[in-house]
Amino acid sequence: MQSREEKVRKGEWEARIADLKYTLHLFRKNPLVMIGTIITLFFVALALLSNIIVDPNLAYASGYEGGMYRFDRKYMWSAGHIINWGPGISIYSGPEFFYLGTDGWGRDLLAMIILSIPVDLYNAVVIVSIAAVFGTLIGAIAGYVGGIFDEAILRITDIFFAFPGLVLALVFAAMFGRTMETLQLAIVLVWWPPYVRLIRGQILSEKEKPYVEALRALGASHIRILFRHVLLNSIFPILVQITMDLGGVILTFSALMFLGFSPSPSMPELGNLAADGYGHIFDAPWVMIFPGLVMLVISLAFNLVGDGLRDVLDPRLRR
Amino acid sequence: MAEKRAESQPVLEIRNLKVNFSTYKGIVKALNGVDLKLYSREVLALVGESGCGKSVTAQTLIGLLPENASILEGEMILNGKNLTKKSKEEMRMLRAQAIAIVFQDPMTFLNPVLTIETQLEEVFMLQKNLLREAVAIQKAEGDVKFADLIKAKSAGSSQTDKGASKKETKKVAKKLSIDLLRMVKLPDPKRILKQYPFELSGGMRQRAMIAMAFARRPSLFIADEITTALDVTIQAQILHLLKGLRDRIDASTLMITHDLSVAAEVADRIAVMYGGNIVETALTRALFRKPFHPYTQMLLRAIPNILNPVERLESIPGTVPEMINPPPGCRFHPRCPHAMEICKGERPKLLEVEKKHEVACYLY
Repeated sequence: MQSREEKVRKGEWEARIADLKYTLHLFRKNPLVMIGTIITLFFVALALLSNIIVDPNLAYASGYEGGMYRFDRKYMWSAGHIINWGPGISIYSGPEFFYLGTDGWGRDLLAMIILSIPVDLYNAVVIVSIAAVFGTLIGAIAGYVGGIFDEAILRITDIFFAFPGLVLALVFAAMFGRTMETLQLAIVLVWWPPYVRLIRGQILSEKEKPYVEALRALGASHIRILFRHVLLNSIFPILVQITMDLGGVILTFSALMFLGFSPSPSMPELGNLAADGYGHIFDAPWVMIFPGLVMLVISLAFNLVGDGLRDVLDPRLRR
Repeated sequence: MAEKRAESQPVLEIRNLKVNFSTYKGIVKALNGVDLKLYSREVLALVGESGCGKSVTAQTLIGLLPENASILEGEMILNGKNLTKKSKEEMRMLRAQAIAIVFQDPMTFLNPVLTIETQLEEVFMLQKNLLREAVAIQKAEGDVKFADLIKAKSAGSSQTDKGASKKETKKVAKKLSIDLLRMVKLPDPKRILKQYPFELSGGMRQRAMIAMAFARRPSLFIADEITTALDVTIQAQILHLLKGLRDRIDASTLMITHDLSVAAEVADRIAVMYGGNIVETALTRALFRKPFHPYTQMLLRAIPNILNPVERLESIPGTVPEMINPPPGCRFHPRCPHAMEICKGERPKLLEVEKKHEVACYLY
């Protein structure tokens, strides 16, 4: 015999599973979103496993030393020469079969792309989370408080909007040197103002809703109302924006790298790899095409997921 | 019973309350000297047409007037404390503990993205003492019901367990939530706790709102048109619920409505409001049997009566007074069939013409 308590607990579990099923159903309903999710998950898995699939030392074992390029034999055609091999070419003396060809350094391009995915994803996550948290906090307070504070914050964001984002990031990176941290900071600098505007607009409309009045009548403090209720109701567009921005930031970050702000020229990073192939665009186009394609696919996937997230997360749309 | 109530000290007393709104068009004199008494455990219905100041009275009571409003004169005394002199923070604490309000539209007054459980819990979390009390009872008796807490409050013998841990208070809060939902007659409270507002019907939401209001153990419960947005059957159920809860919750109720039949259903006393004044207060039966004020008389004649059907219902001639330049003296005199010269002069005072029946009119 089941006790009453157990029955209730089982009921709760069933409800939760049903809820999860419904979530999955919403996701599955839209094939594009499904594709986006699968691609995203694939890249995330690839990022997590990259160091197992490919020996990370390969990327850094190379370097110009005494007039000679020293490469792991396994990944290049012949020591001393940079030879770009096209996709699908196998080298007789060994297991080498370059699915995507080799890059300008003679390294296996596929291996380098795999190694660069965690770099790009990690940077995108760091940049977007800092920008989103900062922008959301400031925008939420500005929208809720209103008045002079709101006005001041808006004018500050206007200043940032007035500059072309990439140029500002370039200037910042040029001023403070080419380290990973500077690059991240440079992109954060141009990435937070849209969050301020987005959340501020949401909060402005949300704070006039009757339930806020009800909460005030309940004796809830402003801090509680803002951070627990109003913000929670306005956060969904932000989550969607974050997902979409992950793709955008990867593009911007790679663009900076492509323009030569990479901390090290041999660093495996999509923009860096593409920049590497820029000089050989006619004789070895694959060096530029494949990293570029991967960038495209990743950012597209994040955009598709962002689309789907909106439908799945917002309880107001789940009916 | 009603007699006994009326003789006790009033829980809430509003004296000569005047509230103005400054707008682009001019100063709107929304409340023009409201006098009201609410006795312990009494249900007082405040009836009147749209724009007569019912809701402004409620907003003033909970201290949540819009920014362009100001209290000119008058005082509101709740349990001997003058609300007009309270600071914003003190008013917030009062809203969390002593005054509860339920609004008109249950569809929009609940946070759409939190479960009922979270929202109910939140009400409890805003007053830690209640939970500590509950933990004390739980420890002493092994179980706690919301009714115990109310009993403790009425008796004035509340013991708090200061050392209550977070886990204990959470557990007690959940227990009380379920008990409260059961009190407002929601079926399967455990399931409802896990649900979001949009999964509930209008009536269920209004019940949840009522539960949240009573979770504060208020001494003053304001029901601001709570049945207006509901259909008639649900309306009847909610009114029935309020009636049933009335004696189990130690609170006085101020029921704001424009529907005289709703007032007749639940109220002990009715106060009729017109143009920012109370024009007549009387026990419910007395008011329907023998209305004194011309406005009340005409109002009652405008309602269809099943026992006494008429071909055509009477309506009150004229329109609602403009509140920026209200008519001088008695605000009803331009529409009043018995208007006299004196009505244009000074505003008539509320006078007791019969036992517990006050009218503000020069006819009496």
